[in-house]
Amino acid sequence: MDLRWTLQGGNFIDGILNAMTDVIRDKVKQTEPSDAELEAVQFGVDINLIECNLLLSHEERILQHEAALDLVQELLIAREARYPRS
Amino acid sequence: MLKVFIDAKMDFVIVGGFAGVLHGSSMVTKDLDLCFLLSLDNVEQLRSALRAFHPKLRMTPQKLSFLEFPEDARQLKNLYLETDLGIVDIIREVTGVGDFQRVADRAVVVELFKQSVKVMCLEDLIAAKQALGRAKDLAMVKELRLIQERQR
Repeated sequence: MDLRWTLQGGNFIDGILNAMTDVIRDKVKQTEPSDAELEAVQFGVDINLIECNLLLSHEERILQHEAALDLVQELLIAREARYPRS
Repeated sequence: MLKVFIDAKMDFVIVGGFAGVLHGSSMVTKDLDLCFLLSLDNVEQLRSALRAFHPKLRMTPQKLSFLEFPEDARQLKNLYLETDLGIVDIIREVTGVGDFQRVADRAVVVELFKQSVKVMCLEDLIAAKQALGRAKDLAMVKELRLIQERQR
């Protein structure tokens, strides 16, 4: 015998199961990537980098950018030393 | 470089790649783009702020000194400078958005080095980058749209 039909004619359990399904459906919907995320990923954007940046203050973002720029400069100097332009 | 302008307490709006960085973009940009009202007074203030960093007009073949040229600053539309601290482009208006007043009115104010600084708003920056349409600008648009979505 189906256990569900032993409680209030089956409606009670069906109601719970339907509610649980709705909750799960909503959760799944929340984790689906948005159009902006999909487009960004297709364009090669590293979403994690953006998320890390958004945790920083404006000043920290500028200082981090400055450090990245310094590194690029160092790499360019190293390249020039290794492969001097004739 | 940015700190020089902030310390000089001039009225400007950070636009371009640096504005993108301030909004959270991960892209590294070499040149600083600022939107200014290029009045005679402001040009003099700019000369004074940049004097120690040997500003040159980088679009002139002889790389003329900005401290001396142009003699008549009224004819200035934009300033493309090369300094000891790096490249800075000073523009009167932003393609796809509008002039200094329009950009400044819609700018967001952020705290940088203990001072309030105007930064082009996200919507305007997206419009500007789209109007430029180069591959690197469109890549930043993708990042900025994502940031815009995260802020909602």
